[in-house]
Amino acid sequence: MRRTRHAIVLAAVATLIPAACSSVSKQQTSGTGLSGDPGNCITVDMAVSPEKVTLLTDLANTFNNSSTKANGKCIFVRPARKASGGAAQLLIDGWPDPANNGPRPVIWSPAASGWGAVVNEKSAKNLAPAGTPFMLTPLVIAMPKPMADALGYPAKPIGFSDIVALASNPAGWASYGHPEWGAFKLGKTNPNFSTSGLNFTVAEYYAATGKTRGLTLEDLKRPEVVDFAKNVEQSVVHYGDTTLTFLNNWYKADQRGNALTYVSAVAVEEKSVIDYNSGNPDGILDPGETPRPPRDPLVAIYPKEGTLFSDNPFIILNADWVTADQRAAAKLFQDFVQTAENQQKVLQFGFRPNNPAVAIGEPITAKNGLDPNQPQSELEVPDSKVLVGVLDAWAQQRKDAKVLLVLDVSGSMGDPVGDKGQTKLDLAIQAAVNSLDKFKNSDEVGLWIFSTGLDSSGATHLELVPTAPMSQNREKLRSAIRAQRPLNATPLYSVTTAAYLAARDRFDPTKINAVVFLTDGQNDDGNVDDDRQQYDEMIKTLSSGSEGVDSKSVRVFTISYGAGADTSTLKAIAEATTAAYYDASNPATIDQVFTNVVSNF
Amino acid sequence: MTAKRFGALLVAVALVVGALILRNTLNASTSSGTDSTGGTPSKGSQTLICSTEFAAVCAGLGAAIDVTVEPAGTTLDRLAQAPDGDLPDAWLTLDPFPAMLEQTRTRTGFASAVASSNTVAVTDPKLTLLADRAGALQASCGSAMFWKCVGDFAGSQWADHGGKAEWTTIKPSFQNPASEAIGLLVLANFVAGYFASSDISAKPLEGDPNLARWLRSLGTNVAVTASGTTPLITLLTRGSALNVATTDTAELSTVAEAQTAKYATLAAAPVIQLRAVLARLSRANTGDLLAQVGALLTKSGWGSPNFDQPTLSESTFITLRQLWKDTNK
Repeated sequence: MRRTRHAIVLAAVATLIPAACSSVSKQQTSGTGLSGDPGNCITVDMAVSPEKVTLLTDLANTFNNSSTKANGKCIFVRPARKASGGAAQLLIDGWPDPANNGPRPVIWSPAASGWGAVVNEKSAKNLAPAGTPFMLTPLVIAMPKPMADALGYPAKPIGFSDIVALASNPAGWASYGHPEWGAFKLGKTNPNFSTSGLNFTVAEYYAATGKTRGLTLEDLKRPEVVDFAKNVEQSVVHYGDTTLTFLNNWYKADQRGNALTYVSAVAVEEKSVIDYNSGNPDGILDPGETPRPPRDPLVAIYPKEGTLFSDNPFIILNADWVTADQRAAAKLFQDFVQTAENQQKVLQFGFRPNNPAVAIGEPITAKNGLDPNQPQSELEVPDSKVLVGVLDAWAQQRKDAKVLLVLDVSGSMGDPVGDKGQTKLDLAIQAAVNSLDKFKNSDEVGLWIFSTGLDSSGATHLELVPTAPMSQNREKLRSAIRAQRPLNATPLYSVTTAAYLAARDRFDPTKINAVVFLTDGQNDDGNVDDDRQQYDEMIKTLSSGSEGVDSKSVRVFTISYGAGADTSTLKAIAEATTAAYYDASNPATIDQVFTNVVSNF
Repeated sequence: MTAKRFGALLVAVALVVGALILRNTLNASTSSGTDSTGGTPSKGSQTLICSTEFAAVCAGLGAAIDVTVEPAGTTLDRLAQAPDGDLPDAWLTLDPFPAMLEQTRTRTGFASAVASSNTVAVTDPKLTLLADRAGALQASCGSAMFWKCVGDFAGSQWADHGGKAEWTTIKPSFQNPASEAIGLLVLANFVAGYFASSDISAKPLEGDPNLARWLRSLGTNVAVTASGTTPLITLLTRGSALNVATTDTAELSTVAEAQTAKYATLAAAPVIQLRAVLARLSRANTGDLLAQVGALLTKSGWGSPNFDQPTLSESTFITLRQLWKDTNK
């Protein structure tokens, strides 16, 4: 009896302890790094630019477990990764389709306040009021140290105007005694997607006018400004939605000893230089990954004319889906991240803190290629109308592209997706057609399809629309893409090589030359015996054409579509041509992925 | 089940229930210490509008006060046409904003709104900049009063005034005079410098083309900081955005000495003090609130009010605000 009574009391105690502690015990939500679930708490969804999502998730975990309450209710902050330009467009569109685009945010934290101005201007609403800066990082021009040394930096101050002069000089690096480095090549992201791309483009127009403030719409139309911008853009390797593409490719080229011929300078945030120089160019260490510092470290050049800052604002949105409780809760989290303790974490993460109680120190130091006493001045952020004008001007003045679209029409593309009776090919067709409007008329685009047995001769690819300016080709491409039906097998290796060589034969040095390659399968040409040989030859061909000063760089951007694609091969193809690989393993994301791929042009 | 077993079960259930009550109590006590929104105000609690400058002070008020933080210009424009029943109980802002509200309402046919207005504390405006730049400015300005000198030099190169070329342009900063109370008061100090007199109400602000030109130039070359931050914080965290921060004695007292070791603070003349005022806008008794706010301001470095300075003319400040808007569209 005594044992029975003890058992009951023990059972009660065992129940009691978790009951008492349940308000603080949380489960780990797999994948996100965020603990627990909102339960009945006020949920504060955040759309956060990618570079700070890890830090904010860590801070959100601490905050969610702190028992802080708003209006008497517990709070659950839930940060989600969303590129600044992508989130801006979603807000302009009213944040449709939360199932695929993520929950509608209460707090939006783009990389820079300028995005809020763009949203307000394009939506003609005050959706994004002025936010509170969370952390700071200046735009810098990252350059391998040997190249910065050749320019005399830091003894000789360097500005955007010097970079532009070098980019426009046909002699390239030979004018600085280094013909072996070839032409000056600039890495710059697409300003519609990326903050560093937006900031560099603004700086480019300031450099064109000689101003440091007060850029106007009239300035953007002046013929000499247009010519200047076109000259700068001519030196661009390709664009893209993230600087990580450049940094990853640069690092891999460095490990092969040819970093100096891939690209000469990239416009990035200061924090990226720290990551690169530590051997972790994308800022994310995979399990077991040991960072290895690059052979040629980068130096951050702080432009002498001044630069622009990414201030990472917390913007509590004036959106109709934000409740008073969420607003109050968001304000509490905003105050929480500003405390000295949390701003110390900001510094450890490689950003400059927004709280003066935390002095700038390690890792923002000379040994990491940075100067904590720079920049000395800033360029003025243009008003919202001018910012939108900059984006419009850039769309016309950017470097032209020459792109071969290669679509997989193998049998597996006929697999059903979702519950609306659509196939993978249906979704890919829609995404490809949508992407056509993102090209300008002077871009040249062509179309191949590939599968086995495409005609009586056993062709594995067909050129449906020869590459020509979009002013002539847009409708032809639209019709041809829409007409596709799933066919046979997937001759991946041979068609990749053929498409690459075809693009090289038609190489135009005034354009971004590229192949966009979409496939859902593994190599399958009916003969497995020569697969290894075909693969090796393909990689060798792609690599040899992409290295060295005189290379005709054709970049193969690969899209891994659906769950069955050969992702490792597609990554290797992109890497061999210093391009980028895109993951559309969830077919529902193909439209967004196509948009991101086309951002490279 | 025997009676003893049943008794043990009852004890166990009681323990569980007790634990849950204990947890709720713990939660409640934790939340009371961290609920800086003040929680849901109880029925009959006082409503207080705090100008942005006082956000931190107002966060320290008890849960019985229903606080709204907003720029003084927003409050002024909103309450200028608010029906009597829509007025809050009190407004913590800078002098002479309550008087500006009263005059605007009277002019437009609305009933009087301000039952009383008490000066709670004062602080003096200052200029803070890196010590080497302060040295250059002092040498270049000579005997000129700094407000006028900084206003004249704004937008020109430091190299032209004894500084280094790499310091680029002289860029003073203040908050938006059209929306922030402290922005308008700091602008008034610049204008006092322009006239070399703190009694700017005696000066003809309107119809002076030279003053309009000077204000336009100042507006073009000043870095206007966003609502919710201050020029001093911006200078300390991001010195490239500006290089002459307008601040005040109270704010400087909240910044650790180590943070300002590289900087120098200049006492510019003439001085128009910044006066924190608590205006009573209803019949509610604000006596306790007055004492609480006074204590919190003292803790935040504000000084006791003195009354040896001239009263600020609300007409002058209404005119100055409009003049700024007109010259800096």
